[in-house]
Amino acid sequence: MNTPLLEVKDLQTYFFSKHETVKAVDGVSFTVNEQETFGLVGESGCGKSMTCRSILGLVKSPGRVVGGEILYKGDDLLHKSKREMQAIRGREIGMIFQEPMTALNPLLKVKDQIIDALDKSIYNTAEKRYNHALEMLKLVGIPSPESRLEEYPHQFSGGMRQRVMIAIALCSGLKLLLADEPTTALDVTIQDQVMKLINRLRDQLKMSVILITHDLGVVAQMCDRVAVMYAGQIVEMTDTRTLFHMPRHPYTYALMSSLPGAAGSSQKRLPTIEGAPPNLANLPEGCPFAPRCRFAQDICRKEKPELLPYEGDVAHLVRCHIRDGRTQFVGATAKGKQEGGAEQ
Amino acid sequence: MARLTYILKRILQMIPVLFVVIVLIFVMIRLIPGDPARLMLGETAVEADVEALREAMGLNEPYTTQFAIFFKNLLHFDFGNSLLYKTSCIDLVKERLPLTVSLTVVATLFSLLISIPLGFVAGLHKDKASDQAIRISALAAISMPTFWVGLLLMIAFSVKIRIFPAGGWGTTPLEHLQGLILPGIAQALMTAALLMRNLRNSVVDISRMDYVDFAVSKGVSTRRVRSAYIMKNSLISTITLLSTRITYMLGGSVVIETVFSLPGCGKLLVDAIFARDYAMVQCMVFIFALIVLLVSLITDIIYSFIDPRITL
Repeated sequence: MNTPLLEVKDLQTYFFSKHETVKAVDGVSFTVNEQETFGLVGESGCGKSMTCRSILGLVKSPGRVVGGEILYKGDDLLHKSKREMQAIRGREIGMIFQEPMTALNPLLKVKDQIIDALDKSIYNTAEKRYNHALEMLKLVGIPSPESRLEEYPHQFSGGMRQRVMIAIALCSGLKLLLADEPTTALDVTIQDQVMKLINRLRDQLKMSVILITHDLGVVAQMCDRVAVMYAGQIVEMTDTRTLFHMPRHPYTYALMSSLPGAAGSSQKRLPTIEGAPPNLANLPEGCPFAPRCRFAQDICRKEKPELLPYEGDVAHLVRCHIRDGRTQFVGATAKGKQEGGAEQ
Repeated sequence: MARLTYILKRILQMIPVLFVVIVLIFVMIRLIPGDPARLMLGETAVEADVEALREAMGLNEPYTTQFAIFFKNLLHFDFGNSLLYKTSCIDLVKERLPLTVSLTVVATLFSLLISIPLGFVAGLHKDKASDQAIRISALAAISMPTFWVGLLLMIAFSVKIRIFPAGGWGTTPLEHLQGLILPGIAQALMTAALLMRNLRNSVVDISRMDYVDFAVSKGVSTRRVRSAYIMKNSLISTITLLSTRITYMLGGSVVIETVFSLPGCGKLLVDAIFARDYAMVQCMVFIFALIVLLVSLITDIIYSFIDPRITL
């Protein structure tokens, strides 16, 4: 547990076009320990998916990882050759996608899609490969796996496809699973089943999970530690319990209070975060969240804040200028209204 | 088993289509102004003779009876005698059809041979130099009329370098093949360019699909990703285009057959139209319709092998 399984240091993934550079991931650092579920939370386009894609080397042109390190078991994945990466993908680090409808090849039988992911030197006979494919479908809880193996993706329901995708991703014994919003496309009851499945498999296969989501409920249910991302940067990172009980970044706080059933939101309309995420090609001078922040002060609009330990706690990092006097966000509502009014 | 019922179903579906084609041919020929009997006997014939011939040809019967006779003969592939050649239409077609079909087959093979590798390379190297070069060549190929390409090829490979005949297709199968190479290439060029552009675009689109990323993320080799994930999916739309292009080339064979003076159906059809040889036109239209249906049947069968979603 001492050396982290994955250590991302100052990762920068930019997208280049003729006129502008979009900083999709702008200096992201975090660690994932063994057998831990690490959550990456944020709005659409905040860079959480791109962080994951960078880890697996799946960033497509015009995007490029321009800086940082991705240390997996101490080795920098950014310096691996194509061949070496191929040996890591699916064997050490794998990924499941958001859309089970589009992430499976419609023209191949489920059996073949599992077998494609197997290491042919270990599963060296057709029989071994078949048996392992069967084993995987059983593992993810697909009924009558023998006949299902011979079917095509379109013959499966959404939830079952997500299970198939998990089976494929895990079939070579991953150490780290990147789950990119694995339940967003599914309905709520199926969501719960799939999350429980991921949890069970994590314990059973002794792997770590990076869970990308915008659903804080899922975070509470699944994650050990969480990083909240905004505009390509981590704005707050701590363990799940602390995040829910003492959110220190205004953005985290705003996310929390827009949860149904969260404190102070009962019987009223859900609070929303006004405004839209900033244009990543043209970030404001100061804190990217400042234009939407109820607590923003002059310094927030001028200087970019650093990601620093909160009150000396190195396990709780916050990227915010207003570091003191904000221990009582809940009580700050009245003050916030005044400031919000002044802002407009 | 599912595939067999699917194919059977597809064949049964052809029957109403074929019936409509037959009705259309019947109506079409009767809508064209002019009296066939008068046409056969010529301008100077006596009215009584014409009337006698009309009676003999059954043209005085009601349309329903005419259609019944027409339909019955059609089922026996009996289209009557050509007005122009005074012999059985179907025999003439039978004699010439092999050339047109072979020409189309050769052209199809050439276009596939050219378009599949180039389209795939261009799609995988989107916006790189190879892609640009391939796309510009495709544009050039589309802009050149078939007959002109045919003439150029003839000048180059029959006149300057004498390796292929400038026309005709000889008598032996080898001579047939030699005679079909140049017209085949000329005929194939535009189709190849269209297929290539289509394939290039679908490769670009498919490469962006989640399942391709997922395949990469699960550690599948680049070669396998390209063949089983990108290529296979890209070919689906290309096959659709190919089937329409094949029927188009079949119909367009008249131009290239004329350029290379090949005795094929295209020329037969044009001659028949100019000579108002209605019997012949009917026969050819029917045979062409039959071939078009056959091509689309084969396409659908190929589909059912590639795309499992089809058979449902």
